[in-house]
Amino acid sequence: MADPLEKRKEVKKKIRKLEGLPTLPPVVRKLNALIEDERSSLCQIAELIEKDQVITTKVLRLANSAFYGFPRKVATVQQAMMLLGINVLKILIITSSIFEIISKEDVKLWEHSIGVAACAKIIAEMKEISDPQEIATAGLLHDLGKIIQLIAFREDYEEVRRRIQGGVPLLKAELEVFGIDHAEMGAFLMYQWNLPDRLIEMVNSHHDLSRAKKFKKECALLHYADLFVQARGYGETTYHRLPPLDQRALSILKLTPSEIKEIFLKLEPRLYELKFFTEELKKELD
Amino acid sequence: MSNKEKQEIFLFLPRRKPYTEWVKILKEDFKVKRFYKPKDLLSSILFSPPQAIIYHFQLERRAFETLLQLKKNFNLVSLAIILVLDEKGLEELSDEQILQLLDDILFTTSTPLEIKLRLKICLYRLTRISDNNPLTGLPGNVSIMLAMTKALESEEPLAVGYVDLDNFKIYNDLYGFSAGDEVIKNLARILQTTIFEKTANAFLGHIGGDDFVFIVPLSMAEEICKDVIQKFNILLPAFLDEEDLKRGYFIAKDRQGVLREIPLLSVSIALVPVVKGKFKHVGEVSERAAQVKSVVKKLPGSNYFIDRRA
Repeated sequence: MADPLEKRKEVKKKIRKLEGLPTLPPVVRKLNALIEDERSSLCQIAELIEKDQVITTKVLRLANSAFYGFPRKVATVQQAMMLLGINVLKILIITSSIFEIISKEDVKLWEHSIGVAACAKIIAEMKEISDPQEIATAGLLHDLGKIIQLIAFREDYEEVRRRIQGGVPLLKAELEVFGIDHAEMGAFLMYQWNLPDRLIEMVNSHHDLSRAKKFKKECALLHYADLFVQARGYGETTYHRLPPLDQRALSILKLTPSEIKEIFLKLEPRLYELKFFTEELKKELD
Repeated sequence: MSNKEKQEIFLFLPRRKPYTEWVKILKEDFKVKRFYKPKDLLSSILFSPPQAIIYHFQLERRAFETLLQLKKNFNLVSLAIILVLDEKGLEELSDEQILQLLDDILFTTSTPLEIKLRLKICLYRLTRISDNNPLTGLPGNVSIMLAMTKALESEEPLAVGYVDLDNFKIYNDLYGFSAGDEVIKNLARILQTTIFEKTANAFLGHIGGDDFVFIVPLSMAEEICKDVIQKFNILLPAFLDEEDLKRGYFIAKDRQGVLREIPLLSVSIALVPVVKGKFKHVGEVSERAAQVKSVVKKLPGSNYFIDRRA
């Protein structure tokens, strides 16, 4: 196995050169249908995009590129859509490449991300943390690093999987293989693509709150959301058990038992709704 | 010229002669990226637009239309789209909507040198037309961004000056906008002469309205501000009625609609020193400038203020 430090450099170099991420074919089809339908509103389109981390990243990247708008300011799909408009979105979708091969297994990663987005939004609303939609976006994007692994480092990704099955904890396995974990990989790509600082910090620190600097509360929130959705069991990530709780979260953002109960009560119907979407995805991929 | 400073152009041309010859000569002066799949071309334009695109008309019509749409949608006036065609293509090119968005056409029979020169001329023309302020002829926001970005990386300590007029809105209301335009034009002249008489290593741009930006060596910045202010004060009487001049202030309604004594026109300059590594983004400089501006604006009359924070 290569030296992790060398590998880390190589990974970062490859991410820097990454031209784009491929999208799930059914999502593209659905989006096209929605766009062609004159009755659909920008909000409806945004709502669909918010369920796919790849298109969301694309839309945010475009709206934040210095050439078109205000770098590092646009944090939600809704905002981005106001800047870009339908015609540009159309072009964005035409130029999107799609996943050639994707297994049902991989779709579970989408499922998990949508779940975390929903949960993060619920906690943000409850704890009155500003712009719940932005927090939800961070939830959606938190495992972007894993998508990068899946696309650009398929073999290494399989190697991580094997090690996890052999009993190595996920983050450790990633560090052994990549010299960098998925949280940092995702954050690094988001930084390359000019996404807002708050989103980047949340994604970067979602397993390790010592990386939280300016937005500690938001970071702790995302850490909880990831944990809760894993605990509930929705979609699946490379973790087959609960990721470890970072104790720092408890002092940064206190949640009482009754609050946690309320979160799960609110989460349940949302997950149920989202299930329709992801089941449809899986069916179309068959 | 290092590859970093070269302007980037995208080429969508067939993989054969004479185009291979074109590519060779264009590479001398430009950073050239070739594309063969329309999808890749469009995606790259979307996320990192070049300065110009040379597109072979007969290759792919659909992508070409999308490209034009993109230019229109984003008002990408400074993105040059140049079409390559032969005699037959010339006859087919009649759609006014396409013509409106095109910047030039080249012929498959042109020599490589001609291609390079035409492209250069086209790019210069575009910067002039699309960016310079129509009133003052000074470089506008696109050039300002470029100059500022370059300044952030400069080895020599520089200062960025933000210039604007106090009570210009009142003046415009009282004297009419064409008189206002005269003041702007004259302020531009004062800035231009003062700055470039002192150093050739400088930049002056017109943001819009009564807002200007200049970039000069830090060592000369304060002297330039003093000169500009002095010249402006000397010239000011030429723009004022005798009545206002004698009285020493305007009488006009303030924002609440109450008649008040309002000070005469004066010029404010906020200076932000820029040394390499201090700022990462242009936005940080203008944020600083805004803070400094609010200090200058509180002082009566014409003033400059230099940001001395690290």
